[in-house]
Amino acid sequence: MKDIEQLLRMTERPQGYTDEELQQLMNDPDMRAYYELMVKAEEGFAQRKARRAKSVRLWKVAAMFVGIILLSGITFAAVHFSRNVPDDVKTQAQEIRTSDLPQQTMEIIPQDSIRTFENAELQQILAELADHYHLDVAFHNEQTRHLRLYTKWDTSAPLSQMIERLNNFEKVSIRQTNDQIIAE
Amino acid sequence: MTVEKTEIGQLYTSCYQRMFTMARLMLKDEKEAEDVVSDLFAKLADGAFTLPSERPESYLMTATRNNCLDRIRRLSLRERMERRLSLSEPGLSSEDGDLQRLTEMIDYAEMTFPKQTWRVFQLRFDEGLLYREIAEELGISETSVYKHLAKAIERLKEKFNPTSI
Repeated sequence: MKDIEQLLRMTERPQGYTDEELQQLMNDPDMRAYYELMVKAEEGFAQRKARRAKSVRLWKVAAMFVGIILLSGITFAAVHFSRNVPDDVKTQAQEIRTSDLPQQTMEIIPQDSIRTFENAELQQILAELADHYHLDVAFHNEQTRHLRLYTKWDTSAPLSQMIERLNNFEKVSIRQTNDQIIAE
Repeated sequence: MTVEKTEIGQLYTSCYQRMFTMARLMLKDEKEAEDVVSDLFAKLADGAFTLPSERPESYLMTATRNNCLDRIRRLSLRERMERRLSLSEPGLSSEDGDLQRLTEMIDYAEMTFPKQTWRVFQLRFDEGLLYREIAEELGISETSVYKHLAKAIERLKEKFNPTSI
């Protein structure tokens, strides 16, 4: 533990140490491994940030799309409504202001819709997905059943989103048919 | 293919930002990242190399990556540690396929570390705070910061082999 603390001090301020001291510390395989993990941790956070930024951009595009569809729907409903109702009701309908309509905004994912899988086998994850989306599961490659993963699932999102997430894992290849989730 | 000046201008507009972002992530140094990308475009304008007719953008990205790797190889141990770059042979880690493993490691840390350890870990490696700043932010001693970080890194080492991430 003490050595790691020394490594932490050195990585924050390497200029305070001689080349020999740095080299000596890095000659120790354990210290080198700890150092590499620290580098990877920084890269991991950066990578996660980049992914989140990308998914926020996608959400914004999706929200715009939903907004356009919703607007078209309201317009269609208004036209349809005004063609088919008596005049007195029409007057009432005209008084309905936009602010009276249910607010349609970008979907906020409730925290209770997030299911976290910790070190869970792929077969367990897929079983839960299948149950939720009313599909069957098929494993074309039996070895993948026991792959253990850490991942999160937004149960309110479409299955395709979770499949995409799972397919980012090495050795995982999943596709969906009409009635099955297939792990290959 | 021989590239006309107008085409270089178009490629500069469409590719510069992506090339620069990749170079900055690899080198962890903005100025050097700018140098790498500018140097490539200068050489292209001088006719020092030619671009393939198909997917010249991919070629430029690969050239950027290779130039960054060359520069990293020339850095001393001290320089790499100052920038917190990997000491492994550059190019052997952080390929696209490995990026998922990196986020997996962070997800694991978030889910399994004690709350305070996670916070210290995050402030250090995500937000880049100094140990003193973390101690002030959380109202704990610097020694505690070291202890939390040491514990965090040890736990990661138990779970992940750094050479395979």
